Amino acid sequence: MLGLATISCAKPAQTPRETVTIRIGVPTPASRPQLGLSNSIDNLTVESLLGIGWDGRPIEELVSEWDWLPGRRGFRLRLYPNIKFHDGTPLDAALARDILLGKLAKPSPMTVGLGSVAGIDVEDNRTFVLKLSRPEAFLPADLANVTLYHPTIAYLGTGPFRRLTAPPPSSEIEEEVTLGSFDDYYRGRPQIDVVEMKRYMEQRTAWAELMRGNIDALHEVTPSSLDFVEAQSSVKTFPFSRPYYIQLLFNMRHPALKQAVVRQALSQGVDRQALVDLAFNGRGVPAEGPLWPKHWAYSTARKTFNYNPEAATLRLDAAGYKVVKRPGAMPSRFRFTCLTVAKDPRYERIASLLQKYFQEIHVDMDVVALSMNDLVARLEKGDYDATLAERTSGRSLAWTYLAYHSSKVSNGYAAADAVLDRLRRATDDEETRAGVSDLQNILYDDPPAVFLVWPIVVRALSTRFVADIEPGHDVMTNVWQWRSAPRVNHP
Amino acid sequence: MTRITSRFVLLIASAAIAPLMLYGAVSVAHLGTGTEQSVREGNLRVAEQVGEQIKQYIVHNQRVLRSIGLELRAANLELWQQTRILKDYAIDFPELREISVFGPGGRLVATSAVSGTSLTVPDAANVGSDGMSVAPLSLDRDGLPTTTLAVRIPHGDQSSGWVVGELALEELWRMVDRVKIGQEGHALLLAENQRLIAHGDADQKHYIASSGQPGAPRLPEQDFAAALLADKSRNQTHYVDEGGGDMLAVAARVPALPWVVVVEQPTDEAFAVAATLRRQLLVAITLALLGTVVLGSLWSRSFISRIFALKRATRAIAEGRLDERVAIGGRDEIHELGDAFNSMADRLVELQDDVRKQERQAMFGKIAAGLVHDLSHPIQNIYNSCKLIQKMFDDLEYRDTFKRTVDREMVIVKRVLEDLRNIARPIPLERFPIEIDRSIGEVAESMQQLAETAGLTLRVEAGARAAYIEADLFALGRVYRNLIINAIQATAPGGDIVIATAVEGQRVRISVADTGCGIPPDKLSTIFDDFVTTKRRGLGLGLAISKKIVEQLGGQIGVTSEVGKGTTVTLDFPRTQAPRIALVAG
Repeated sequence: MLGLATISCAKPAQTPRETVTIRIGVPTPASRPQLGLSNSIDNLTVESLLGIGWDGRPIEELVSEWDWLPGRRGFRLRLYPNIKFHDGTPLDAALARDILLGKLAKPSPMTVGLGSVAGIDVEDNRTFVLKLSRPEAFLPADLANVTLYHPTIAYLGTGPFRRLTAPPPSSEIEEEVTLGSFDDYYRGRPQIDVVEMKRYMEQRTAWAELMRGNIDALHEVTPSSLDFVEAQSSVKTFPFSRPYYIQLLFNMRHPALKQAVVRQALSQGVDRQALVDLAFNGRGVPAEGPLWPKHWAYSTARKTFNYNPEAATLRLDAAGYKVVKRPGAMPSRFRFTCLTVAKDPRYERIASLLQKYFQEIHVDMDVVALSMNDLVARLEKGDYDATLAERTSGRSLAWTYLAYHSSKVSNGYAAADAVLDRLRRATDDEETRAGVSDLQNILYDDPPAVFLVWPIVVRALSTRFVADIEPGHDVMTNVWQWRSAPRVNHP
Repeated sequence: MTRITSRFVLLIASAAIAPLMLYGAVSVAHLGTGTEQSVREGNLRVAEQVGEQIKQYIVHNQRVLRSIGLELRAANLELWQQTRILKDYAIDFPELREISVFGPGGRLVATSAVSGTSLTVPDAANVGSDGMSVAPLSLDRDGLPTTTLAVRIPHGDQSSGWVVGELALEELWRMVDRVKIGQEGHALLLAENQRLIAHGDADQKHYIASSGQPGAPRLPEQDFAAALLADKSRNQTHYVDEGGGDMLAVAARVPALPWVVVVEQPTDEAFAVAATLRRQLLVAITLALLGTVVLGSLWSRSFISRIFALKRATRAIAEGRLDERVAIGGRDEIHELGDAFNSMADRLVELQDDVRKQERQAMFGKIAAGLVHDLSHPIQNIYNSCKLIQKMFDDLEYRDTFKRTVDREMVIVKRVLEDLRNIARPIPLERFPIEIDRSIGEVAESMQQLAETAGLTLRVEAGARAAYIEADLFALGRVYRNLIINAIQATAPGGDIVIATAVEGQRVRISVADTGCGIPPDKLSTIFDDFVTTKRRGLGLGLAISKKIVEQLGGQIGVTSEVGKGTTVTLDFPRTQAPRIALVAG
């Protein structure tokens, strides 16, 4: 990580002022620790053409205006003026086109409809059009998942902060990084000069560092320590609902779990609210499905699973699953193994609770904790019965497509393919609403997982800094607008 | 003289103010110390209760582990059942992060941890006789303090196993956080090595995370805890905490554990009640003092003013204004005194009138007696001569004798009448520079015969040099003669009369001293008054007229006397320059 050339950028004349440095502690996401700090770094250094708002509709990012061509056979985008990469290279329509064409040649697995892009025409210095072979409702969401890097220097972006050193080789996980403010950022120079980020394997470790004053901001506060952090006058907390949910995802290849009625029974056998209270100290919302509840098309008139172990038992009985004694194991209707990430107290607690609930309806869930590498390997091979993990719903429907379309997943679930394809082809809001409603019903009738919780995430920031953010939104999305708090002179 | 006002001030001060102030000082002092001691004792009780609660917290969790052990000891539980039991307990008892069961030899039997346990069986040194263990505080992988509890599970004759649980630090913190004293008081929990386990101040919890780290600051609470562990009587102290606040701290040991609970509270807040009570008491006492002073002043003023009124009236009476009366209000003895005073003044006026009548009568009597004495002889002589002239009118010699007798006696009558007249009005005087020695010498010479006849020695002791005064020779001579005659009349034969003159600066002093019988002291002050005499008869105007003459001449007259030894009358005149031409006295 050290010893690489420092990037030099042309800086305009600045009024000399005290360097403002903020240190952010980033607990590694339990689901993908191998990512290290890469996501957090990308959030500050690179940008997409579009973003997705809290209601699931596209919002500005590099692009300030957009519209569909008739019949949704094209998507016109207009860039903001004066966008530059961190080395000063201007980003215009032509360069954006070239970068996109490169992406299209190797589409990311995180995209759905980029394959429908037949070509890109540049209309002027800032405007270009994506020509589509067919309507792609998920195109804006895909464009939100496509980050624009410098065409030749892979780690340079257009974001408000820039790397001061090149990233390590991909085989290494970046533990710490220092970012500097980008003076030519098209939306205005950040008021924070330096951002230091450090990765922590566990949230509790990062919390301890916050207490010691070794970091100024904490990416996520553990539920068990939240009341202590909130009581600190030197720290301000920012709770918000993140588009991530925790689920017990089933592999349809399991003989019992492939039956929808079994999965329905398991969904009914879990007291989600109690799980929120016991595992998240009440900081969460019971999950009814994988769709982002704040999505503009989300239907509240949907069928939901209430905690009803008796009904669950009846379902299992009706499905023919009787309680059978098994040597060395609890008497049960059937048994399955749940994989989860090791050494994460939160998942351990959730797993224990699920075991308890399933035990009540005589389903034996064996929990196996694995390192993330081993877990990912088994998931990719489909070598699992169920997995307990956190999953992003995204704020758009594209993520739901990615999570549950059979072309994208390895668990053999295909019940939602038709409706997901319909949503992908929707050309107006009415079609989308109808598709979402149908999807919700399908996810109830044939649930691919037991959807558990939408955790409320709490970020923490030292009161030495001010972050203006609408309540309920993610304060980490506008780090470039943070500033030092005014100093109070005490007599 | 000690004024009555001062007496009243002293009275109020000694009877009310001083005792009140003394009471106030003692009360404030005792209130302050008493209340502060109550606060300390109250906080100490809180610390002891918190210590007991923590002990019960530990005991409770040990009991949980013990019940787990008993439950697991039940016959033939399979591994999944044991694991289920442990997980259920871990869910139901958030105070325990993880529970593991070990068999004989420390072999892991079951654990609630999904990812595998990091717990081990306890060190034998940390196991009590009751088979329970509380491990010394250590730091977990996050650098936060942690400890484990362990309970032995007896297995009949076999070696026992263990149920080990890791305490959830956060739950212990919540318990300590609930300890609140006032608005800002809180508790801390420290381990045997003074490492901070819990801190009740949300903004100071970071010291827990820093405790044990290189370069971590040493807190005053840690020193306090160490002192208590060394000497249990040192359970109260003051210090300035890391935030700069002056803190009252008390400490108590957690029973059966080497931990210390410190309860600290800002001194301002802890003693706020005492300070408020002190302030209130001071205000009350101040108000009482002011009230005492004001009421005392008002009352004493009303009392003293009446006394002063009596004093003024008395003084007026003494100055002769007998018409002065007092109006004393109220219905007390002072009022009665005022009435008595008025009555007395009325009576005084009556008495004065009586005395005046009597004095007038006495004076008239005396004057009449004097006149009779002084005039009866010459009038009788004139009468006798008039009777004889009727018979001896033809005797030319007797007619000549008759004329001389009448002339002589009429001179005496005129002189008596002249004296009477001079007492009432200023004596006309002619002033000329007169040599004193010469004027005295001439008078003394003319009185020599009279002195010799009385068997007395009359001599003059003149001054060293001549001295002049502005005087009327005739009037001055009369003064000399009057003084010499008095001296002759007062001195027994064989005595001496000395007339001396002396010059002292610009004053000329003339003294007439005799060795006579002297004047009684009670008469001395009135000797120069009109109609006062030591003789049996006479008007008593001689010295009065002499005094008048001397004073009209700008001089002074004085007398000293001792009964049985003699009298000296002294005349004191301002000196004057000698005339160009000395007038002959005579």
